[in-house]
Amino acid sequence: MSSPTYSGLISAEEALEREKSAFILDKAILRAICEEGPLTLEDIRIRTLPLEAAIGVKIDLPTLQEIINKYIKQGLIWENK
Amino acid sequence: MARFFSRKDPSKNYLNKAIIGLGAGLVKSRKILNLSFGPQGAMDILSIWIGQELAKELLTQKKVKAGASEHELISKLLDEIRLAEDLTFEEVEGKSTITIQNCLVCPKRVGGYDLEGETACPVGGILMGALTYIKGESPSLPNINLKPGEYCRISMDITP
Repeated sequence: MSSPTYSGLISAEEALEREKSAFILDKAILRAICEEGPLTLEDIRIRTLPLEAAIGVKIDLPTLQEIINKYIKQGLIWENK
Repeated sequence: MARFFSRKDPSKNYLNKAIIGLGAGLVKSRKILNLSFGPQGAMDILSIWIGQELAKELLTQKKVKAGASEHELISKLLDEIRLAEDLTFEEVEGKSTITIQNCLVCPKRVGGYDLEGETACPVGGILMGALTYIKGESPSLPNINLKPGEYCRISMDITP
């Protein structure tokens, strides 16, 4: 079974405008998905590596998945199983 | 649930003012700095580093011990830095929610700056930086969700 992929339902610009106060990791995930989707969780992890280096704190897959799930529920992105 | 209070102390206002100036400066310069994730994104990164440095200093001054609990660290940070007059720390089903009332480092409410519809809140980043530093090497990033308002709610999943 292949990994699910994630795509944006709105543009990256709209998503970032809507989530202005969101934490930078949320914004980085939204931008990656809305600009470049469909992306797998692993693709998204690769795209957040520069942020991990910038903040010096590990970003793990469960954290990424939790943020993705939040934005699926909010209708900003969708999951293609 | 734990609730922490700290009082304004003008003689110790310098760090608060520095943080307010940083937030206001990020908002006002966001276009010329071309901040990819806006002033809040820049503040998130900078405040994590600030939080780590504050935690190091708390350890150096033996105000907290390595591996201190979240409660201890937050209490000590409020004593020393006075991020807010009133901070509530609530843990429900492994999720910790921090509610800030009367924040003392808000560029808008305390500094009086017009943030032009932006935010530049350092509290989540400072707490994250300090908590992850105290937890030890290679900490995982807690999930942070800021809901600005009269009372700012910051949800942080800091489950080990």
